[in-house]
Amino acid sequence: MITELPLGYWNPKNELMPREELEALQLKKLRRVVERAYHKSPFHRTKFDEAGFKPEQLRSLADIERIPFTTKEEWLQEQQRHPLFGDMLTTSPDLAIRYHSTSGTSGRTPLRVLDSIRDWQWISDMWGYAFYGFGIRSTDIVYLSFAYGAFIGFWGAHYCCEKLGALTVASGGMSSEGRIKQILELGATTICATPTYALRLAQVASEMGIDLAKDSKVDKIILSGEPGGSVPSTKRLIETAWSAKAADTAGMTEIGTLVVFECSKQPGGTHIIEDHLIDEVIDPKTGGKLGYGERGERVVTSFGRGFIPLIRYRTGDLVEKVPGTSCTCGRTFDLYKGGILGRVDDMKLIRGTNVFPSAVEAIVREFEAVDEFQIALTREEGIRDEITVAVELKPSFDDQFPMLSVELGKALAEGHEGLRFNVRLAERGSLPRFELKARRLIDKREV
Amino acid sequence: MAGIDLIGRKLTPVEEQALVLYNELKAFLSMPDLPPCAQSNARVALAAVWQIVNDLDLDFEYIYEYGV
Ligand SMILES: [Zn+2]
Repeated sequence: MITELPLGYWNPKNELMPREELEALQLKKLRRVVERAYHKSPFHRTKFDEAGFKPEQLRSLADIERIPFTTKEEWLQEQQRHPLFGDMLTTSPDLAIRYHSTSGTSGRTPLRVLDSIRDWQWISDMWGYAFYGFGIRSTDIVYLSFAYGAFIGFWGAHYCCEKLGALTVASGGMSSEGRIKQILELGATTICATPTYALRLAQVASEMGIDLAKDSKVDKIILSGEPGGSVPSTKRLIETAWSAKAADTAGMTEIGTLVVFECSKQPGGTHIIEDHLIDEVIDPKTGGKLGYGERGERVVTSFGRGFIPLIRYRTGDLVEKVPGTSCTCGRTFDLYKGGILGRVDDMKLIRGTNVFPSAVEAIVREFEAVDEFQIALTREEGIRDEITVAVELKPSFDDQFPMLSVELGKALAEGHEGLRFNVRLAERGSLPRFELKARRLIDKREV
Repeated sequence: MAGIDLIGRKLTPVEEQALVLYNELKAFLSMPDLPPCAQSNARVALAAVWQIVNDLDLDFEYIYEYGV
């Protein structure tokens, strides 16, 4: 059921604030965050001293570039040196009420974080910018489709919905079938899921003989966890499957909450919550600042999380910033055009051509017959790199593969400077499905 | 300075009242011999009102000393 979304602001004072005032506010908060980190976190003090940086050097917002970057590697090493959390807690761990960690993929140690009651008020509040801004109100029934584990996922969204007064439905530990039944039974109006899982639910529903577009009351979908929420073809598929409007959002465990959100005007990008953080875009190679319209790595400084300061943290996210005026909603917050475009290190070089998984996804999702896909990079005869897209087709589309493989191969080549893609048919149910953090690219060249 | 927010704007009546609530909760939590039910619930309340103060740029501080 597609309905017009209301225009609303969670915090109109700041969301509509002139840029000069917003920047003055950021500088004020930045100074306090940095001073506190310097005096309370030995990790930060050492780091700043080694870089020859003193908090009093922050005279203007441009001085942020004097502060050294923090990387995930550095943070993990610090946690190993001083288990469990590193020498960077600014207050007693006795005040912590929550523990969360990253998913710790590839057998690596997970990043661990602690937060207090105050920190969690802030974490849930940041989701308010996204939920209220996309039209979710106290009368909504919000269904959160995620596992509710140590991974931060939609935890903050859950508490935000309670804060909003919406009926908040947790679905940890449930099967997709069970979730679909409950979504219908309770008359859920809003779904929170990753883009991949929103599509997966629609597919499972279809196998159950249910058409979510007709049979459910869902009219809003909050997407997070993967770039797909801003990939136009993926988003269109989700919106059609559910007959609902979908908003892209993105957050991370390191900050505890979301950092960007798509407003009800659906500008094809995500606003940065600039009254609660500073997001910079840098050249990942030189570390130099990039301007509007230039693609680079997102670097974040958080004003909210107090337990563990997050200052100039290199996220590895690939983004392109554009001014707030690019959206018609009136917010002065800058946007990321196309949301988080992918990971800086996701870019693969195949026979001299740059390939981004999100760009491949955008093309593959244009083909309605495709249910799931996977990209594999291989090195043939020890020298020639090959890229193969394996596709699983929807049940009634099997006989279309011969034509689809030609058309998809052509579209992929056209989108990548003529690079030849191999397209292969995967057996139904053979490709992995994801609830969180879909990983659809396998680089076998590195093995 | 009283009467203005972090960027120098004059406080509205709503903002003034938010600060009154905030300071009263801090004062309440500083009282001796609070029963556990009062202390725990007041901490949650202080965190919630702190977020109003934080969102509306009325103050920007850390309140860990109140057990929050
Ligand atoms: Zn907007």
